[in-house]
This record gives sequence, structure tokens and C-alpha cells, in this order.
Amino acid sequence: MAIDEAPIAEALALEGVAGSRYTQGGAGSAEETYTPPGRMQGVLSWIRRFFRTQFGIAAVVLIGALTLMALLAPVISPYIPGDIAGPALAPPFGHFVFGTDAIGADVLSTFIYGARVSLLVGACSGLIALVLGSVFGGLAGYLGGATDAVLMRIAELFMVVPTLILAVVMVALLGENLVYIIVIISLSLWPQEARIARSQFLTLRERDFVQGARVHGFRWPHIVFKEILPNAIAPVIVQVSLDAGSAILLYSGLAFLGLGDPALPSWGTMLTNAQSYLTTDPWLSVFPGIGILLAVLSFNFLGHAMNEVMNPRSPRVSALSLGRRMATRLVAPTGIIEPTLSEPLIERSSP
Amino acid sequence: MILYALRRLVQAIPLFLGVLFLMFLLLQLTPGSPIQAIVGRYPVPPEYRRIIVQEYHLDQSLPERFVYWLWNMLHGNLGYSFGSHTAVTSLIFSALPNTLLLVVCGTILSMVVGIFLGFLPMLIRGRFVDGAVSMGVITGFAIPTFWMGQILIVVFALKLKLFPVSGMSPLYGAASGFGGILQRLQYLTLPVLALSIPALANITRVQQQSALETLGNDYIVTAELKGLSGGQIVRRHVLRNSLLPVITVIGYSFGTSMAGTILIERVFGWPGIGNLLILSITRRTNQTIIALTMMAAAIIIVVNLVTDLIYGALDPRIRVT
Repeated sequence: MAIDEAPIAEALALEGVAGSRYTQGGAGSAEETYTPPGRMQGVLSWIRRFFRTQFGIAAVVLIGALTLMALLAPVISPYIPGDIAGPALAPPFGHFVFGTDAIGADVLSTFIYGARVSLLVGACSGLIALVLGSVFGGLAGYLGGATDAVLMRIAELFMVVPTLILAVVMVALLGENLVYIIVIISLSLWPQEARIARSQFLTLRERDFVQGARVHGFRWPHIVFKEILPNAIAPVIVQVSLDAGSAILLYSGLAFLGLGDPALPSWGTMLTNAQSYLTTDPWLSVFPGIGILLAVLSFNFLGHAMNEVMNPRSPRVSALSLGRRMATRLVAPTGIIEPTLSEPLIERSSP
Repeated sequence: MILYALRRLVQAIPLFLGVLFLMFLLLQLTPGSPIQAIVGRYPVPPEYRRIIVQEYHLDQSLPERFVYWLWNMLHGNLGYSFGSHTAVTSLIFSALPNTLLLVVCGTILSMVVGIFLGFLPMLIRGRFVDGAVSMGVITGFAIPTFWMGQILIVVFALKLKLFPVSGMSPLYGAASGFGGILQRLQYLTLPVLALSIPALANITRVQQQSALETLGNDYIVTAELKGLSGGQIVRRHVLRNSLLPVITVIGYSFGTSMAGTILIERVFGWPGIGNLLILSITRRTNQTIIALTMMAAAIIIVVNLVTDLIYGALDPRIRVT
């Protein structure tokens, strides 16, 4: 399809319908007449609905607790991680709440400090993946044609090699430095965001309000950043939150293989060290694993809560008795209900 | 159908070339000299370095080097591992069957159990089952498989002594015949269980969603108007039609399992390509690392191709687009 010039003509034909919203203000310049309808109120009601979901509350509590633990690590940890604090391999729930490891360092302190690198990797990789994904996905969806084809082939390339293998190989060849690792993890995550951003841009650029803005003579920066992006970004952010969880899992996997940043205490490294003591001291592997599980889970909860808020109509079995569904069908004739913009998500699984 | 198969095949080839290009790019970005990038930081004799320069034409320009590199790779010239004193190809082919055994068993397990669990909310209606399955899926995505492996070892191998702790067969006194198969299954159980968790979560989720979407179709309404009972509709119409989308994620699940074996093989001491990869990372034998990655990518591309073809064979609508 030749999209670039055609929409103006198409939109002109539609002016009676689509243009009316924008021309109501009458004479003044386009910037003055166009006010986004109550954005602040939208955000507030969005937050209210977010806290009404169980996942939302669980996510905020978990992420809040982990963040506090990471920020206050020097204050709350009883010992310095890695320093010999007592006898080697002391059992847990004594003087040392999580016990001590093979060299006699306090496991609880290492555990508390381990939250830092996990959250850092999750947040940074998620943000980089968000930027990369929305830029490339948005470009592909908005421009279409050859750009779309090339960008999506590149994304497909990154998707065919599983993220863990890609990350392992890149870290092994390029070096075990935290900044590298974060960039590498986000490089292996961004195609998912790009795919979603692309499909969003693809549908939105044909919508009436975008056509209307075009007719009004707005240039592409306004159309892309003010019209399409705010409407397209929500499902991408949901995916980013799920991918922040994947990033934490990926990093702990890398650390487990000895490919984490050696300078920072992490839960994955704790699990590697625990591997040699499974027969005699199995508790060493219990706590770091729970830490990883909770951190990943909290970001997954966040994603699910946001999805629930943005896609309230996503079906649940419990609400669907066949009979009741029939009734709603008859009441709501097809065509009136607008199709939901975002496809329900979570395409990526953990490594 | 043949046309469709050919088109899919043609689409898969540039994808594999792209993976090769990505690997070449990575080698260029690797710190150190190009010879070192290919060989790794493992001490190798100077004659071998000369052979590398000659084989990969390292004195030529970048595009020419890529062509020669591609040439070497496509001819199965994957290099020689001085860490193990064997050719990389024979190294890979001795480890690959073990990994495939693990991955194929894991994929089959996650498919069977995943389809069952995903369909369970259709059979037993109510908030509880649906919620439990959804919660299980979310947790399944969040569990670190290697940690689960450790926990399984502690509980089922060390405490209950039901399964062996690690390895693929006993060090001495390996049984043969039917007893051998049983013994192998014993060694397989725990790693396969741990490995299949993410794929299981993925397949369950897709099956659950697909069953829900099937309910919205017009032929379900027709079946209902015909007077079929709920159970009959679910069994005859929903189940069969909702199975189709699950096929598309099998390839993807296979890929995640393939990556997951790196961690699982480390936990269980399984002699597969995951362990080989870790060994070559610690030994810095880059040729083996690159070769293993390409092997994994090739296998995943082939599996994706096969699932696409199966899907096309089952659903004629796919072939048109």
C-alpha cells in the first residue's frame, strides 16, 4: 500500500466525520483547538483501577519491599557480604538467620545485597528494550514498506536464537561487565517490544483521529509523538514489565554460569556456590532461589495488573457460562463494540 | 501445499545466513586480534594460528573475510578444539544426541501436560480452577529452572532417594536391554521435569486462551442451538478446534528448552551441548562457542520450519497467506 500520500486524500473524503472533532473550535490555529481530553483525569482513574486489581497490589507491595531492601542494603544487612562473619556452613535460623556459606560469610547479607543487581538489571534492561522496541517497531509500523520489511527481518533474527543462548555467547565473547551485560540482555529482549509497537502503529496510523491530524496539516513529529505514541505505548509497557522479569531471570542464569559481573554479589552466583553443597547443606540454595522467584514474579504481576486495567474485557472462563454468553451476544450486535487495540500479550517465556 | 513448503524453506535460508552474519559480527566486536577472536584465549600452537589466517583469509578486507568465513562454516569446517584435542564437529556430534534426548522428552511432556492443564478450566468450570491454572502459569514463567533443578535434587534424589543425583548413566554396572531403558528413564526424570517448566507454562497459557477464543465462534452457537449439552460441545467442538494454535508454539517452546538445557545440564551434570558450551567458555575456545550457537540456531530454524509445515498441512487457511 502506498500510505504516505494517500491518507490525506482519504481523510479529506472522511472530513465530515473525522474532521469534525478538530474543527469545532473554529478559526484559531490547530494547536489551540486541539486539547487532549483530560489526560490527568485519565491517569488518575487508571491508577485507581490499577490498585483495585489483586495483581496490582501484590506487585506494588513486592516491588516496594525489594526496592527498599536494595536501597537500604548497607543499613539493614547485619554483616558485609563476602566477609567472614562466623563458622563456615552454620545452619539457618540460629544467630545467622539464613546461615553462613562455605567461607563463613553471612548468607542474609549477601542475599540483601543481591537484590541490588537484580533490580538494576531488570529496570535498565526493561527501559532500553522499551526505547529500542518503540523506536524500531514504531518506525516499521509507521513507515511500512521496505523499512518495515528490513527491521522486522532483523527482529526475527534476534528472536530465532533463544535469548539465553544469545546472551551467554555475547557475554562470553565480549566480557563480563555489568554495563555490557545490561546492553546485551536488552538487545536480546527488544524484538518483542518492537513487534507489539509495530502492530500498534500499523492499526493506529489508519485511525480517524490520526487522519484528522494529518488533514489539519500537522507534521509527522506531532502525529507520531502526540497522536500515535500515547495511544500505542500501553501494551508495549506491559511487555516491558514482563521483560524486566525475564531480564532478572536471564541475569541470574548468566551469573549461575559464572558470566555475571564478578564484583557484585548476586542470587545466581549464590546458587552456583550452593551447587557443590547440595548433599550436605541444601538450605544454601533455598533462599537465593526464592529471591529470584519473588523478583521475577513481582514484575510479572505488574504486567498482568496493567493488562487487566487496559484490557478489562479480556475473557475469563469463570465469567463465561455458555448461556450468559449467548445473552450478551444478542444484546450487543456486532459492529458497535470497537475491537480492542491491544492483543493480549505475554509472548515471551522465561529462559 | 508444495508451493507453501517451498516458500517457507526459502524464507528460512536467509534467516540462517543472518544468524551466521550475526556471529561474524560478534567475532569482529570481540576484543583482541581477529586470530584471537576466532581461536579464543586458549594457548594454541603458532602453526595453527597460521592455518587460521590462511583458512579465514584474515589478511583480506572485511567483506571478503565474511565470504570466506561463510564458506568455511557452510562446509562444516568449524575448527579444532585444542582444549579437547578433537575437531569441533566431532565434539558437537558426540554431545548433541544427549541434549536432543533431554529437549525432545521435555517438549513432549510439556505439550501433553500443558494441553491438559490449559483445557482443564473448560472441563471443570468455576473461579477456582481457572484462577489456579492462571496463577500456575504466571509462577511457571517466573521460576528459575536451574534452582528448581537443585530443589528437585535435594528432595527427590537426596532425601527420598527415588532418582539418581546427576549424570546420564551409572559409572559402573550400566544395565542393558529393557533394564537399560528403565535406568535411562530414571536418570532422565528430574532434568526433564525441571527443563519443561517454562515450556509447560507457555503451552498451558496458549491452550487456555485458545479454548476461550474458540468459545466465541459461531459454530459453538449453532451447536448450542442444535441442543447439544455443554459437555458435548466442549468435547466435540471446542477441544479439536482449540488445539490448532498450540502447534505454533511448539517450535518456540523447543527453542526455549534448547536454551534452558545450558542451565539444566550444569545442574544435573548431563553430558550434552550445554555442558560443552560452559566448558568452552571457561576454556575460552571461541570456535566451539560459535559452532554450538550456530548448531542450536540451525536446529531451532528446522524445528520452526517443520511446525509451520505441520500447521499448514492441518489448516488450509494458513497456506494462502
